[in-house]
Amino acid sequence: MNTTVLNPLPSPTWRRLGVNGAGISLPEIPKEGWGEANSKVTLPDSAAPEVCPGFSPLESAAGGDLDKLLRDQAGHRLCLTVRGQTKTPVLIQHTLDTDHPCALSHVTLRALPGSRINLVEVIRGGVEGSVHGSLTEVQAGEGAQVTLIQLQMLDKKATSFSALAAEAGKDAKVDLVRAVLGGERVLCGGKCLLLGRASRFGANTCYYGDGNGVLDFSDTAIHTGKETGSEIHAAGVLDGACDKILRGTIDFRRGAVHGVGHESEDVLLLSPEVRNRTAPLILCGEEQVEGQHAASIGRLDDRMLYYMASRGVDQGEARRLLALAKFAPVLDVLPPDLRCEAEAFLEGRLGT
Amino acid sequence: MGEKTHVEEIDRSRYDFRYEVDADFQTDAGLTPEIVARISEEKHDPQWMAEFRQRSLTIYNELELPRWGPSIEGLNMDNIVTYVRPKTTMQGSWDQVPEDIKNTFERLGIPQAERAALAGVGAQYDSEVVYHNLQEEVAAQGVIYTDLESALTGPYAGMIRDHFMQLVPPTDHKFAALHGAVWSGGSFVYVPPGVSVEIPLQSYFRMNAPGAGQFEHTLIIVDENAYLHFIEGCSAPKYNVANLHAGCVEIYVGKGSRVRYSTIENWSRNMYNLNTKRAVVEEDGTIEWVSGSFGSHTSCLYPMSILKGAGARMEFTGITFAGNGQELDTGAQVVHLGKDTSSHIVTKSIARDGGVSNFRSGVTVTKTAEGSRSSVSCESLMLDDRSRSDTIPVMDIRTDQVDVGHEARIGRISEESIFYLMSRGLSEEDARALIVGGFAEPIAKELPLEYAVEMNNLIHLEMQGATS
Repeated sequence: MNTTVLNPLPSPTWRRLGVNGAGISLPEIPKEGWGEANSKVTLPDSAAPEVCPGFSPLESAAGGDLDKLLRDQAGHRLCLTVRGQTKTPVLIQHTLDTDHPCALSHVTLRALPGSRINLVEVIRGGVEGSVHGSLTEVQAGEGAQVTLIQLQMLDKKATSFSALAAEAGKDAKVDLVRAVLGGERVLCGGKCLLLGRASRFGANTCYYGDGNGVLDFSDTAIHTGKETGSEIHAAGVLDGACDKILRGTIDFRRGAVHGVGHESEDVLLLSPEVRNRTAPLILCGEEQVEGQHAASIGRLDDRMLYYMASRGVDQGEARRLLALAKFAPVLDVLPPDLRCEAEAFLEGRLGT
Repeated sequence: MGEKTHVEEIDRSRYDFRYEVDADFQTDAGLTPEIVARISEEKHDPQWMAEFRQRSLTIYNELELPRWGPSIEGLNMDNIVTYVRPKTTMQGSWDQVPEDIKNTFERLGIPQAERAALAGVGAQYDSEVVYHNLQEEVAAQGVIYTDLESALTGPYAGMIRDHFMQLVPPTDHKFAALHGAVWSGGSFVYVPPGVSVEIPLQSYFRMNAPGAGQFEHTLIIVDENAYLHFIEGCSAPKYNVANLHAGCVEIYVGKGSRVRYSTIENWSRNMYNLNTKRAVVEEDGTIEWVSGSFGSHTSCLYPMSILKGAGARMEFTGITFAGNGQELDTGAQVVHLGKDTSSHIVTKSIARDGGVSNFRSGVTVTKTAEGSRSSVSCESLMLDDRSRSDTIPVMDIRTDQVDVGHEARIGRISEESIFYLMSRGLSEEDARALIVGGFAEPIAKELPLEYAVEMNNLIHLEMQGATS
């Protein structure tokens, strides 16, 4: 029995609310081991794989225990150093199937000063007992821009763990874009340490959950440098008896003067059986900062449905369109072929 | 303009005076079954209450301290005297109250407030109520306002037994269990159906003994289609040892009734204020909490409203002002059970001079609460970079037929605003005071008038110490 708490809330609160840690446990190691991951990697010229330079391990928001498990047991490893700028992304594709039911991945990415890279990770497939786990560690040097795009389209039977641990130097920018469209038990934890002056972190998540799905998110921006910025936003649709928790934390440490952080969540609830929990934290140890969060949770807007009906759109179609709209900000940044695939997958899950 | 503002300690002389402790009886420090039994004996508890206290003590010993919130390491129950009885019985006239105790309440302005603007007053000194009075015309309406001990054995004994610690059971948390074991003092209010108590009632709790605890219990039952405004005030002189306040408030709001509960908490800076307040609201009833937290070394205060009946409503308006050496962890909780219920939480907090001000909230909407609405808004203001302000809200929504909104903002006084006001001839101190006053104004207007004036004075006092 594993008692490790994943996605711990940075500042705990009442236990009865159940948000101090995830309801998802650390994965048990299968008897036959994790096996070989079915993973494919496509690299642009500017990202050179190399022996891991061994930068000091950061901790993701998922917690040190998950990070350690993924570091120690990943079947797929990639260590990249990025020089210069390229529009061609690093593409990592994991496919879970009967022969490869699990895929644990550990990626370290060092973006040298002034470099720019997009890293796209796509997770597909899944059979009974499938587990996907990925830990991405990012070190963004001065002026570097790193965008990590995760598109998760797993079967409902699969479990998925995704952790990001990043640090950003002066004027560096780390963006995390997540589309969590599948899986039965999903845990995502991203953390970025904004060390350098004017460094930026963005986390933009869209999610869909239904059935007895469990979704657990935690994103944290730690502002230590001056004039740092964070934007943590999430939007999702919950149906069935899905149970979802989202924690977003903006942590202004003393000295992070003129730091600015915003976070928001917009959740559409489609079933009376769903459980939606949101914990948007602002921790503030510095006077000269601006922090803001907002959340909106509810059903389909009756006025919107009425308007669409008056334009000849029936209720089912209106419901589908309004649900899809929640995903647009994230799906719009995907490469065109992946966007089409994601939309088709999502429409399948929405039952259209 | 870019330099930091240093804010001096607040002038608390109005509250920080003391008299020699001249107790009629007090227990030893610490918490044992013998001490709890002695409290029962001294207070002539009915058998069920004596057993309730011992059960609560067992629960207290079984429960862990909360693993969240401010540190309470400085609080050692082995050093706390849980019961201190002053040398008087409860009086119905200030003239009969012993001189030092009467002087205490006069300096706090309680008799004057009673004459000017209150329908009834209860005054507690350490562990016992020393004065209780209710205007005759209010009593003639059938309103009951008395000390809880009298009610425990009088004609309302059955009502007390049916309601006492039913909303806040001793199993709720460790300090609720402590309260169940050693509670003493407090008030009982009953408002009959259809009665509107137009003038507020007020209970004031004063702690005088160093190293003591105060555990008063306030039980309010407002029957159908009635109205009550209840004001609670508290203060203590400052000592170099920890004092503890672990009171409990239980409010039953009947169908179609409205209760406003206003609190100004101004404990001394050696006080651990671990208070529990809870209301249950029936169909179309309303509970309004107005809360000002200014004092204490450490405060954990989150009034909870259980919106049980269809159409029940809750409003919480709170302000917290944390200064040097203080960690004030405040907020509100609401549980929506009934259909079409609504809650509205608005808070402001100010942290200065190294103080820590945390906002914490929990909004739970259960499956049965279809058509419910909730909105939470909290704003925090940091006055220097030695202070801290955390915002920890949680929403737990278990049905789709809801509209829940939340917004929070944290920041500082804008330099542009100060510059503008200074260009109009205000000093920097006055400019800052004006801005902080404006920040707090929406809350101040919800407070009883004398407290609103006091809060504005307090803010001005704070800012007068500011130097660039």
